[in-house]
Parts: sequence; structure tokens; C-alpha cells
Amino acid sequence: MTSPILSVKNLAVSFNTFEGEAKVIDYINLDLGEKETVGLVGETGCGKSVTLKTILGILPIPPGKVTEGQILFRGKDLLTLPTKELCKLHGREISLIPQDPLVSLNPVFTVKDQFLDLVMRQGEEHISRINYYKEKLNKKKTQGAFKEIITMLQKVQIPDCERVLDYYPYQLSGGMAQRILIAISLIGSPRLLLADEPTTALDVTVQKQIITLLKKIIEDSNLSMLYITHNLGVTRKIAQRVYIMYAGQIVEMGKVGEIFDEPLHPYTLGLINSLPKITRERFNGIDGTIPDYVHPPKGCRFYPRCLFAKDLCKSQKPTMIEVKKDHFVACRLFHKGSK
Amino acid sequence: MKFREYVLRRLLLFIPTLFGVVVLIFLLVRMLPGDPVRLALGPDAPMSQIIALRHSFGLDKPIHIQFLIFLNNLIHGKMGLSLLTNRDVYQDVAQFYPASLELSLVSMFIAIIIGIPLGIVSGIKQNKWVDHLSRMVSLFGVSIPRFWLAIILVLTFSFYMRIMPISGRIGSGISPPTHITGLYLIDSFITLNIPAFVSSLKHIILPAISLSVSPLAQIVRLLRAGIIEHKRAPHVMMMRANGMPEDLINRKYLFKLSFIPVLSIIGLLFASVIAMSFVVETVFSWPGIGRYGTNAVLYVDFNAIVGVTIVTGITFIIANFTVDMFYGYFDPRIRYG
Amino acid sequence: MDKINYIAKSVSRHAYLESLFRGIYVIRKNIPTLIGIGLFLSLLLMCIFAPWLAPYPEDAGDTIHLSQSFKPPSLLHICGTDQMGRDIFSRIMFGGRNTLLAGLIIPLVGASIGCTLGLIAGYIGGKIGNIIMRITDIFLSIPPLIIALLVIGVFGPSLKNIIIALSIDWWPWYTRLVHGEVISLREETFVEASKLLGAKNTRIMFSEILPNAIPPIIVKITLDMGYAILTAAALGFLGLGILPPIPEWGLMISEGRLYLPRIWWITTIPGIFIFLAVFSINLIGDGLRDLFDVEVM
Repeated sequence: MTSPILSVKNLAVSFNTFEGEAKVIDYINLDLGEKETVGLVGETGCGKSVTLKTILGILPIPPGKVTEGQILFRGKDLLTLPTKELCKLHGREISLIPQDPLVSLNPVFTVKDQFLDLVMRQGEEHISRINYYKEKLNKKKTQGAFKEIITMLQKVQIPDCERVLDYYPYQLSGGMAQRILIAISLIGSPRLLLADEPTTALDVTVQKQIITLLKKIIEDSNLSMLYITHNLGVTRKIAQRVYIMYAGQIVEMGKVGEIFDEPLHPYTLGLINSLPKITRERFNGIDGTIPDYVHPPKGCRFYPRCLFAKDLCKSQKPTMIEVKKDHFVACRLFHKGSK
Repeated sequence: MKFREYVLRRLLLFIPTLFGVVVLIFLLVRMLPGDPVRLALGPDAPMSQIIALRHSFGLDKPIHIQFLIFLNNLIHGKMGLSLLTNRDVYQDVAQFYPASLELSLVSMFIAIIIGIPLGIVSGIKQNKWVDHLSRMVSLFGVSIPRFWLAIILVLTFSFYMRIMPISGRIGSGISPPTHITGLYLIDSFITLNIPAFVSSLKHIILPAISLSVSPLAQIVRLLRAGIIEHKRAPHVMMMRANGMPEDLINRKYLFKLSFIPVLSIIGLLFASVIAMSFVVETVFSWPGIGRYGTNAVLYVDFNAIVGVTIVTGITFIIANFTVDMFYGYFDPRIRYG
Repeated sequence: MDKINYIAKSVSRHAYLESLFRGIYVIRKNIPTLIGIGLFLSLLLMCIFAPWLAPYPEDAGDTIHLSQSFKPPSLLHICGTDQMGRDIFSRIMFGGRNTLLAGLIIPLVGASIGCTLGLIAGYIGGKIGNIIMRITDIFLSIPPLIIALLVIGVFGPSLKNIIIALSIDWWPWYTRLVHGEVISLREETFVEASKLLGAKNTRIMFSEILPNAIPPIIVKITLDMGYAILTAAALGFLGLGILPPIPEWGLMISEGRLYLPRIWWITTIPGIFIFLAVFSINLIGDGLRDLFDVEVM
């Protein structure tokens, strides 16, 4: 593709835990083009949230550390940017739609307070108290920001915007809160949206609404989105390409339709088989659990759970191979000479 | 519910509690053994005198009537005669109360003004040297006996370094400022009475510091714990990711959330300040309720004991009520329930 | 039925032991807590074995050696002598028994009363529960020392009276704490399970709910011991506690005040010991709080 808006190259992240150093992300590569929505699918604990936080630069650094890699956003490496530059990006170029909307808003402030502060002060690294109060008294600026907020809330289809602004988070429903958070993420006119399982904490009916809303917004504004989820089915509705992640590694990547029609990696197969279907009788899962990150297996990390495992898989890590056009997989099954 | 409803609800609870405390004190006092009349008259008094005095005190009437008389007297400002000062206890209390109030308020003020910034910084820069230092200081502050600290401070600053006065509320050569609130610092400030202000300040600093170390330490610890707990919260992460400046997150959003549990104990801290002021006042010969009350207990000055107890109790309830108001204002979640 | 009981008991005992070992391991890694434990044990042992360890055990009583009075700290008298010529260090060891005893017993007594009332109020609830909580609220509205002063004022100063008076002061906090815990615990499924199995109320209260509420109670008792020592010493200082010539740390501070500033050791040294005792207790309490991961003030 033409130069991608986001490019993660060879990223490795580990955490210092009680038991040792947990190598949570094991050299992943990810590309996201302009105006593209890419899904990152994996089960709980596979490292997708950590990836997201690393991209955003909000990973808690004392226990966590980036051991290798680059994260290029429009050419600039986010990992080496000075804090001042990084702050300018947050909200204005890259923004986040968090997972559980009801805990993602500060419970002791109104929606208006939080939203207004964000709009007026987005991207600044430091604020002195005097400046803060001076700006607050600047009626014209406040009114302007207020109008922007109302427009955005209408865009995310919130009824009765002015009343909602005066609510406290505990007075909101999950769906409403998530819409507000989407509004917050869009207000800085970013180019890249990072969505961290935005519908996981919501009811199924609300999920559909939010996904439809997101789709519409993306189309209207030509945004790129990295959509993280554990639900492969959702990616079908919203993404063009999909990365499948397991235990800190990318195991397969391709166009959404192809992944569903022809899943290559054994893990992807297992995921698709686990999707509940009306026509299927039994409820399938994948046996086993994710590996220990402190002492990860030397070879393929999926080896213990793989139905097609061979002896070689235990000791040698598979590399990413392009099996078909734009369809990559990291599995020894597809290495030259074996089948 | 809105804030107004919350205030009303609290007020409704406040009045019966106030009443309950007065009843409790009354009962406690009446239930204690020892015959106040005998105590007043001495062991050799003849029976007739005892009966007469008892009658005049109304002690021979049934207990609920006694209570009503007690209440009636209370409202009219008659708390009985003090054995030591030979005045109505009400006058004694009126004279000494402002001094204690001022001391307690200044101590809490110091604790809050220093405690809050220290707690925030300690929480944000967790495990850096600032944090370790303030944790040490907190631990020390909580473990030090305040009356002993008072003595040490007096030794160091008044005796050895001679920069602070030893006792009293204001310098002996200076007359106290005009009585508006009874609080010397405020009165002298309002009347622009500079020498009185400076002298009052010099006199109140050491006792206030001794009293403030413990609440200060507790505020720092609690605030620090709150900030550490909340700084990894999803909403903080959301704000950071969407561009909110770090300063604003720390000083406004994290702070309010972490301060709320601190608010809930400020009432308690104030109570401990009141309690410990009894001892500290003794060390500094501070002319307050504490010193008066201690003497009352030592000499079993019955009416004075009752008077002091009631006054302190009422102060405490009012303080708690005020804190509850702030709490309800700051934490909207409480109004919901 | 018996077999189930037996299995349940042995499983729970095993789990209990395992958590005990893990607890000890965590504490062992926590240096400040270890320092606290060490310091406190030293002080405790010093006071318990005072009659055998003190250099001048008779000085803890009525003796007078006026010729030895006001001697500053030296090799003969590590902490110097007081106005009656008594060795201060020995008096500290004996005095510690009184101060520390008060500090240890008061929270325990207060906790026993308070927890029981809190359990009843929280679990049985109803009218009795309401009455208990109202009374608790009223007691909580009175500042700590005041009730104690009242009681002592009338009953007279003595160690026993301090303990009684301050225990009365202390129990409401436990009632409130336990009440809160019970309210949140009684909706748990294991309580329902017990009820279904036919357990009596008292059994549920004491064998099911109470053990789960114990961590914050233990932390609070530990931290309260520190406060109790401070308060008991304060009362002693005011002359409302133990009467001379029996030594007590607060009392010794007050006795020495007359001779300041030149004779500083009579007042200063007992204060240092009070500080050390409370400091070590607070370290232990903090460690326990981290261990149990509990938010108790």
C-alpha cells in the first residue's frame, strides 16, 4: 500500500512482574493505511490492549518497557518523540475510544466539565493555574467550545444534548456514555482512531447501534481506525483487513472476507469454529490456555494447543509468509516443503 | 437529588443527633455515682441541709423533670456554678471557648494547607525521593505524642533559641484586640491592630504546630493512597490519550476524586485536635476550654465538667455537619443514594 | 453430612495454612514492617522482663535517694535520675508495662464489644439493629477524650479506670466498621448456602461472616494500639491516669516538666520511648494493611 498512516515495526514490549520479565509482545508488525479500518483480533490476555497503550504512549512505564521496535505515525517514531510533541498528537491526530464507557469518565465531574476542559485545552503539555482560570473566564472562547461540543453530540446521535451535558457519569446509560466518548475522541479532528473493544461492555442491541454509528462516522470523515476486539464476528462488519493476534504475536493477516472464507492459521480456524452459529449444535472452544509470558515456549507460541502441531513447531518459531496476495500467515504448515 | 435536598436531609438528622448528645451527657452525668450535693457540702453536713440543697437543685424530682429543668437552664445560659471560679459555668465557657476554637482552627488550617499539596506530590511522584520523605514524615507525625512534641518545641524555640514566647495567648504587654469574634487573629486583622496580630501569631504558632502534625500526617497518607489508587483508572487513561494536559488531570480530576475520602475523615481529625488540645493547652498555659476542663476534672468541679462536655460535643457535631455539607457538595454520588 | 463437614473443614484448614504461609512470605520481604516487629518486640520484652532486666528495680516504687537526684545520663544511669534520685531507665522499663498494657488492652476490649454489637446490628438488623446504630452514632458524635474525662473525673484516676474509660470511647468505631462489612457480606452466596443447610444465626454470624470481616478489624486493632498508647499517655500526663509513685510514661513526662530546661532527661526520654512504641506499632499496622490490601484508617 502507499505509505501507511500507522506502521508498527518489530515491536517488543515486556513487563517486570513478580515472577520475572513477562515478554508480552513478541515482535509484531502492523500497518494501517489512510482511510482504512483494520481489526486486531485476539483473546483476552493476548496483548492487544498493551499494543494499543504502547501506540498511544500511555503504557505505565515502570512495570512496562518497550524493548525494541518503532511505531511510525505518518513517518514519525512515536516511541522517540519528546513529550511535548507527543502531547500535541493526543486527541488532535490520534485518539482513543475506551473499552468500558461507564468507568472511562471521571465520576465526580459532569460531562460538560470534562468535555469542555478537553476541548479548550487539548494538546497542551503544561497549564499554569493563572492561564487556566483566565481562559475559563473568556466567555467567547467558552461559548465557541460549547457550540462545538453540541454539534459533535448531535453527530453521535445523542438526544437532548444540553441536558445530557449536565449529567454525572453515573446517570448515563452504557450506550449514551459510549457515544459521548466517541464524541470526545472525534472532537479534535484526529486522523487515526484507536478503538479498544468499544462494544464489549455494552448490551448486544446497543452494540449494533454503536458499530453502525462508528461505520457512518468513519465513512463521512475519512478516518483510519484500528479496531481491537476479541470478537472476530464484529470485524466482519466494520473492518477491511484483519490481524489475528495470539500470545503477543501476529499469526495471520488478511482481508476480512478471505479470513472468514479461508482461514489458514490453526488458531484462526479455532476462532471461527468457536463463533456461535444457529446451525451448529455443539459449542466449540479451543482447548488449553495462553502460555506463560515469563517463560514462553521457544518455538511457536500456539504449539501446546495446536491440533496440527508437528515436532518442528516446538523448537522453531514460524515466520510470516505471504501465502496468497495480501494474505499472510505465521505457521510452519505453510513453510516451503511441508504440508 | 440536588444539593439542596441533601442539605435538608442532613439538617433533619443533625437536630436529633444534637438532642441525643445532650440527653446522653445528661444521663451519663446523672448515672455517675457520687452525690454532688454531698460533694458540694462536705461529709459533715447535717441531713437537713442536704435535703434542702437537694430540693433547691431539684434533685428530688423525677428524672424527666430534672432533664427539662436542665434543658431549660441550658437554653437560658445557666449551667450551674463552678467550684473553682465561683461563676456560672456559662461565663467561664464563654470566656475560654474562643481561645480553644482559634487553636483548633489554626491547627486544622496548617494541617490542610501543608498536607494537601504534600499528599498530591507524594502520590504523583510515587517512590521518588519526595514520596519517601513525605512518607517518613507522615509516619513520624502519627507516632509522636503531641503533648511531648509541644514540650520539645517549647524547649527548643522558647528556651534555647529564645525566639518564641513560652506561654499564653498574647504578649503580656499587649492588650487583646477588640472583641468581635473572640478569635484574636481575625479580630486584630480586621481592626488592623498589627502589634496584636503579630503577637497573637507568635503565641499560637507553636501550639498549633504541635496539634497539627498528626492530622497533617493522616491527610498526606490518605491523599497519597487515593492518588496512587486512581492514577491508573480508565478515565485518567482516556483523558491522557485524548489530549488532556497532565497538569490538569493531576490538579483537578485526580485531586477531587482522591480528596473525597480525606474529607470524610476531616471531621474525625478535627475531633482528635479538640481532644489533644486539652493536653497541649496545659503545656502552653493556653487559656482555653481544654485547660479549664482538665482542671475541672482534676478537682471534680461537677458543673464545669458537664459544661465543657456539652460545649465540646456541640462543637464537634457542628463541625461534622459542616464537613458533611462539603462532602455532599464534592461527591455527587452520595446525593444519589 | 459428617463426611461433608470433615472434607470442608480440612479443605478450609489447608487453604488457611497456605494463605498464612504466603502472608508470612510477604511480610518477610517488607523491611519496614520487619523493623517494626523487631522494635516492638524488643520494647515489649524489655518491659515484661523488667524485674529481671532493670539495673535498679527498686526505683520503680517508693524509694528515695535524694543524694542521687538529678544526675544526667551516664554509664551508671543510662537515662539519668529523676528528682527523687530514682534511675529513669528502670522506671521506663516498669512504666512501660503500664503504658503498653493500656495500649494493648483498650483496643481489644473496645473491639470485642464493638464487633459483637456490629455483628448483631448488621446481621440481625431490624429494630434492634437500628437502635444499636443510633446509639453508636451518638457516641461517635462526642469527641474521643471527653467521655474518658467524664468517667475518670468521677471515678478517679487509675490504670483500671483509664482502660474502662477509653474502651467506652473506642467501641463505636468497631461497631460501625463491622456493621458496614456485615451488610456487604450477608448478601454473599456462602451465607445463603449456610442458611439453606440449616445453620443457626449465631453460627452464621461467628463462623461465616466474622472470619471474612477479620482483616480490616485486625488492621484497625493494630493501628488503634498506637493511638491508645498516645491517649493513655496523654491522660497520664494530665494526672488523670496512674498516680505516682508508680511509673507511667506520660506521668513521667509531666513530673519532669517542673525541672526544665536544665534537667531535660526526665521529660524527654519517656517521650522518646512512647514515640518508639507507637512508631513500631504503626509500621506493623501498615505492613498488615498492605498484606490484607485493605483501606482502613
